[in-house]
Amino acid sequence: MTCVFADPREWELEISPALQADSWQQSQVYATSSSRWCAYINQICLDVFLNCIQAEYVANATAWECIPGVPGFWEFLNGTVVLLGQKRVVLIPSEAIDDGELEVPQEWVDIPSWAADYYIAVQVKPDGDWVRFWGYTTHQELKSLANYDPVDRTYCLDAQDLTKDLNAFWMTYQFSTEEMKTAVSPLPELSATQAENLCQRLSNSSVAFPRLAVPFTTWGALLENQQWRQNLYQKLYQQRQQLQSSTEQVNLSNWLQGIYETYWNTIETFLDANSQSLAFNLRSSSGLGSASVKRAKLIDLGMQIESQQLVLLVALTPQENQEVSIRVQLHPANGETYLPANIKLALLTESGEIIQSVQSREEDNYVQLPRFDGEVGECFSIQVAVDEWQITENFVV
Amino acid sequence: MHSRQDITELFSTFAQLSADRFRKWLTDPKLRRSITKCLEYNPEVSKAENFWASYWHKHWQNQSHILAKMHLSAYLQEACYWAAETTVTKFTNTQYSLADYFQLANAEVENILKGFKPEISNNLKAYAQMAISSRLRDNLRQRKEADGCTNWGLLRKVSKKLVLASLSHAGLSPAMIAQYRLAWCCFKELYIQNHPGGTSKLPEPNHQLWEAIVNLYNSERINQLTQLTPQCSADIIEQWLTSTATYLRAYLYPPVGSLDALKSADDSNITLDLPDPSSDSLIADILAQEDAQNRQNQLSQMQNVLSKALQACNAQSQEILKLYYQQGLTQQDIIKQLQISQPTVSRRLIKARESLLAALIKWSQETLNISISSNQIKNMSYFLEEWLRTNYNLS
Repeated sequence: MTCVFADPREWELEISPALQADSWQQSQVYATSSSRWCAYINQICLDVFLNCIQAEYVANATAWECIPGVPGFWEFLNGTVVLLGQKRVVLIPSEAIDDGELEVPQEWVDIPSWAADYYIAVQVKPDGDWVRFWGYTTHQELKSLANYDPVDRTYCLDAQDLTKDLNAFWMTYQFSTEEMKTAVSPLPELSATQAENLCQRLSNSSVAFPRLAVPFTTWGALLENQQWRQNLYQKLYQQRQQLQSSTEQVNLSNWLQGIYETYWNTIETFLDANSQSLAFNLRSSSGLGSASVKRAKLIDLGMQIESQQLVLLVALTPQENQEVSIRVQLHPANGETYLPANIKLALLTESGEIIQSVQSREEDNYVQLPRFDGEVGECFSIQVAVDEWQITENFVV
Repeated sequence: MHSRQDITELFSTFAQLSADRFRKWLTDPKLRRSITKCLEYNPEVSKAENFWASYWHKHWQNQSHILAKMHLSAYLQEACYWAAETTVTKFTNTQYSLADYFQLANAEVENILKGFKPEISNNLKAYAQMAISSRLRDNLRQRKEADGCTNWGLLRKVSKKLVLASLSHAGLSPAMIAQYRLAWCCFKELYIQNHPGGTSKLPEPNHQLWEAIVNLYNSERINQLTQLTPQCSADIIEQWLTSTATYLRAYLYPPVGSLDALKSADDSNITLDLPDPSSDSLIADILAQEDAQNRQNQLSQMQNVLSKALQACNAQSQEILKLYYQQGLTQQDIIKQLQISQPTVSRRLIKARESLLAALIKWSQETLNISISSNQIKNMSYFLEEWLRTNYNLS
C-alpha cells in the first residue's frame, strides 16, 4: 500500500519484497527472538536508507560495522550507524504508530567514539511495506532537550522538539559547518581481566538485558573496545544458541503436518533456488527432488571463520510403516559457491555417539550425510563442527 | 460559516456547531472586555488582525497574560473549522462528524501555538490552518492503524511515551505505572513473531508465553523496580496488559466531549484587573518589528529567489508541487492524475522542494555572506513551506 499521507518533508521509502526477504535471512543469525526481530527491523531500515542515499546523495555512504563483517549492534541494542563522509548518522527505527517521541539508547550518545552528529527517527512498517524517516535531531539537542530515562537508559526527545523536516536535514548536512556534537566525557578504563569477567557474567543466560545489568559507564567502556565487544558478542551468541539447542527438540513428525519450529524456514529463504548445486540437487533422484518436506536453518559459525554462515538443510520423505527417510545437507549461505574446508557434519545417536560423519574439502559446494531412516519417536542429533567450535541440533521423528 | 471581520469579535467569540453545521458565534464576556480595553488604549493599531495575533502569541510565549491562550483559541476558530471540514470531505470516516473534528482541531491549538514561529512568519492563521489539517490527518492515520490491531498487536506498536501517558491518564499511581511498564517491556521482549512481514497477524499469546513473560518479570522486577513489589502471576500480567491496551485505546480516542480545549476551569480565579495595555512593552516591540524596513526587504528578496527557483524546475516537478500545495491533493490523488508511480511522485516532490530550499540557502550565503547555521536552515524551510502554501493559493 502506498502512503497517502506523505509530506515532502518526510521520506517514505518502499521496502521491496526482495529486500524484506534478505533482511529476514540476515537477521536469523542473532541469538534471541527479540534480537532477531531488532536485527530485521534495523536491517530493513539500513538497506532502504543506504539504497536511497547512495543513489541520490552520498555515493560512498556505508554502515558502521560493529565487528568486521557484522553491520549490526543488534545483539546489544537498537539503532544503526551510517557514515556519511566525516559525519555519523544514527538511524533509530521503531514500529510505534504514534510518532510520540524519539528514544535513543544511551550508548549512541554517551560512548565517546559512538556519539553521532545526527539522529533520525524512523518508523518501520513491515506489513505496510514502507519505511518512514520522519524527523531528526542532533547530539547537542539530545543532550540539552531530551529527557534521560534511567529505567531503560534512553534519551527520549518529544516529537515536538524533533525537527520534522528531512529537507532541512540534507541542507544542513551539505551547507552547515556547525559542530553538532557536544563533548562527551571519556569512560573509565577497564583492565583485561575486568573485561573478561564482565563478558562471562553478562553472557550468562540468566541475564535477560545485558545492557542494563551493570552501571552504564562499565557497560559503555566494555562496548567501546572492539575486541571486548567481539568477545561479548561471541559469548552471548554461543550461550544462547546452546541454551536453545539443549532445550529445544525439533519434531519432524510435526513437519509432516506443516508445523515448524521458529528457526526452520523454507530453503528458498536462505538458498538461491537458481544456484547450480541446489538446482541439481532438487532435480536429481539422489538429491532432494522426491522429498515432501524441506526446511533449512541458518547457522553462524560464531566468527570462527570470518563470520561465515552456513545453511543446514533437512529433507523428509515419508515411507511406509511410520518410517521417514531423512536427508541432511550443509550448504554455504549468502550466495557463496563453496563451503569452507574442514567443516564436519555428523549424525549422532540419542546418547551422543557419532554414527556417520562427513567433512568438507576445498571447493565443496555442499556436503551431505548418507540418507537414513527414522521411526516415529526415535531421537537423533546433527552436529556441525569446525576446529574447537560446534553446534548440535536435536531431533525427534 | 460566516467569517468574522471585526477585531473584537475575532478575539472574543467561539463557533457553536449544531447538527453538524455552523450555527452561531458565542461571545465570551471576559475575553470581550479584555480585547475592548486593549483596543481603546491603542486606537492606531486597532484594525490589524495580524498585529493582535502576534501580540497575544507573544503574551502566550512569555506566559505573561492569563487570557492569551483563550484569545488565540477564539482567533483560530475559522482555521479549526476549515481544517475540520477539509478532513471530513477528504477522508470519509463514519466514526467522526464535522463537530468531532472541529473539537479535535480545537484540542490542537496548544500544539499549533508551540509550532508557530513569529520571527519568520506573521500569519498565524494561515499557519494554523495548514498545521491543524496535517495534525488531524496524523491523528486519523494513528486511529486507523490502531483499529486494525488486536490488543496484543497494539501493545507492540506504541511508543513508551504513549504507554506511560495512557497509564497516567487512567489514574494509576507512579508505583503501579512502574509495574505495568515492566510487564509491557517483558511482553515486548518475548511476544515476537518468527516470520517476516507484519505484526498484525500475530497469534494470541498462549499460556506458555504468559509463563515466560511472568518469569522474566519476576526476575527483572528486582533490577528494574525501585520499590519492593510482590511476585506476579501469569494471570495478573495478562490482566495488566489487557488493561494497558484498553487505556491506550481510551487515550488515543478520547470520547469527544471530554476534550477540555476551551474550558478555563479556573474561571472564578481570573481577576479582571487586567494589565494596563498602554504600558505594555510588547506593543512597541511588535510595531518596531513590523516597521523594520530591512526585514521587509529581505522577505521580498527571498520571495523573488523562490519564484525564480520555481520557474527553473522542470515542468513535471512544477505540476506536482502545484497539485500538492495548491489543490491539497494527497500523493494518492497525484498518482492517479499524472499516471506515474508513487515512488516517482514522492521523489519528485522531495527533490523539487529541496531545490527551492537550496536556492534560498545559496542566496543567503552569497548576499549575506555568512556561514549558515542549522537553525537558519530550519527557519528557511519553514519560510519555504509557508511561501509554497500562500503562493499557490493566491494564484
